[in-house]
Amino acid sequence: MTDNAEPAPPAAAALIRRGEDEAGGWRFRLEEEDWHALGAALRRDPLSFVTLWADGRDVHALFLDAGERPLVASVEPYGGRYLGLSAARPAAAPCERCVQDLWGFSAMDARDSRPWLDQGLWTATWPLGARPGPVAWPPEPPDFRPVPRDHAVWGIGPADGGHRAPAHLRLALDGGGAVGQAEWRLGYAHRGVVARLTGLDADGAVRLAGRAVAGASVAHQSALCRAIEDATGQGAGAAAVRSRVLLAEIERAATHLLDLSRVAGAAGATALAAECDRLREAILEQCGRIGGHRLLMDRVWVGGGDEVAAAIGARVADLLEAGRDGLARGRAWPGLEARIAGVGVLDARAARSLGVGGVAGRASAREADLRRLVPGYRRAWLESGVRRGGDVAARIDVRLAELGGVARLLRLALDGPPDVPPAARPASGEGVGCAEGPRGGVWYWVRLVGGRIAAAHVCDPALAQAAALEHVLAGARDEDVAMIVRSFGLSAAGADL
Amino acid sequence: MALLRAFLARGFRPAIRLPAVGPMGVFHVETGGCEGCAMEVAALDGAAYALSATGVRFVTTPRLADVLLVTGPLTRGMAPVLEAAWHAMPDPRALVAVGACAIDGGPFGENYAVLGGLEGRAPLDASIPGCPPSPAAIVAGLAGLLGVSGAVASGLSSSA
Repeated sequence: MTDNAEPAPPAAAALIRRGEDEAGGWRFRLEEEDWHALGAALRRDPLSFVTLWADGRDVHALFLDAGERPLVASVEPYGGRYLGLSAARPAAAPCERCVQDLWGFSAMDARDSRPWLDQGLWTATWPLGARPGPVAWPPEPPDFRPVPRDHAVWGIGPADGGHRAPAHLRLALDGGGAVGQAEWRLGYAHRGVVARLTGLDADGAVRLAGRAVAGASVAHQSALCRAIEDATGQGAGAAAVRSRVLLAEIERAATHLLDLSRVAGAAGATALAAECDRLREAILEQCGRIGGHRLLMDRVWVGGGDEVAAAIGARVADLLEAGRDGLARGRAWPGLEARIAGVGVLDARAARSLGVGGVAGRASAREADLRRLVPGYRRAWLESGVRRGGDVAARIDVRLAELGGVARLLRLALDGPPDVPPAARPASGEGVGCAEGPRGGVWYWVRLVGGRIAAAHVCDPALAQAAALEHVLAGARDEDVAMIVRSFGLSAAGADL
Repeated sequence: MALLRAFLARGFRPAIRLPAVGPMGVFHVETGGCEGCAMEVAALDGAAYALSATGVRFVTTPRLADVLLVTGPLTRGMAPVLEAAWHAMPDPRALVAVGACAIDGGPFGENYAVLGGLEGRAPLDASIPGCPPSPAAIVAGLAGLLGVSGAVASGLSSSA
């Protein structure tokens, strides 16, 4: 992982490990002063930040030590306040705003403390906190950033006839066709997934996770299964490991084709969009034959996965190989390159600091592919596939290249024995699990009590993408906005949860 | 909840029969689900289905719509948006719920952020069940509004 290329002195990681071990060597409780020291250490230490959440008592921050070992620091907020990490890790800013809205813990030293999910229409403020508060009626008007001088405001969504999860994008236009500032208003699609997970048994929780974000249903199901298996010390057998790999890759192909179709449509490349639509439909038809859900819901469960996936893996690989030339023809459509090259650039530095992984990260020179950590994938199978452009063209090309990768991985996983990990860690009642979804890394943390979920956290890549898009859209041309947003594959369903 | 009073106050409404002249304009609002149903509606709107042949056309403003097509559970944040879309539509108009969540909330029933499904809150002209329903099932459901039998969509493969 480029983020951790240098063998840096693990100051921040060592600081975390000095805390009290609460979950078998990967989650540590820090006293308030040690948490402050961690905040300071993160300013010079490259330890890669993943996500931040609360569970009612504590605030937790998940890091990836050396790019591969999950490491969690926990602190108990004092008087409802804790030191935010967004000053050192801008990627933590949207997480801190979610924690504030849901739990009422406020981050000191935060980059932004305005609401992120709560628009004032819920039945309570801090609905998950120990003491939910009353709601003011009518709700306060949205607290948007001040618009630069002489700019006009153009709002898009939440209902504009597009077939996607609701979100409002507020653009400030300078009158010459350039976007001066972009800002999201989210929360329209917030369903309280974390609140709903609490109290469910493992099977019910995995069924719900499969409906967190439809474009990454297998990724969410698998990441939660791995977290539960981690918590219970239970392993998944070779057949289950293989079927999860196959399902994840089939889902990757389908969602990449959907995202490609959307961005190609916005760029006016209807030929490419049509190729994608037809190929995706052929794949979904195969998916519909195993178990009925074309979008692969309920295909993964704790300890297992639908082994019927093996039956369609080869067929999907055939379809992708047959469709490759058509996609290449669509990509070579005259005029497309001029429309997408150099547009909507996310530079490598911003991608790293805002925590953008997945396709968008790999298009911005960030080699952030969690498949390295997922059981079943051999490292030799994975190609780097990193591009440096960071523009719409790079994000399209990464997806096209990964469609070829899916076909190759499907064949490898069908032919060779899967890489089954050694025995799981002993049960500690708490676990963390991840998956590389089609749009980026998905993480789950769970605490189980008596076989039921007592506390949970879900991290979808959309949260970081939304923050990154505000950065990328500032300075873009107004006619490119739809194309840039779609090139990230952002799903508000994943940002709001 | 005051926001939905207008929906609820409409009470009984005779069965809507949309004029079968010209394409049926459909305004789609995703009211906050996992986006699965929205993806299946998007597939209908794409190149893989010859949608215009079925007499259905997706529009980008409710003012041009005959049908308000809702996917996803109705979140409290989307309730005023959905209500505004409905009131912007000319008569005769139809309300269609697509997928388990839009019908009865599915896995996302009422809680602090979600009202649930439309069933019982607003008179539905058609409900298309499924999690998510296939594009073929959605076309068949819409065809029912025109008084055409579901057989219109029988040429399309059904897999959900």
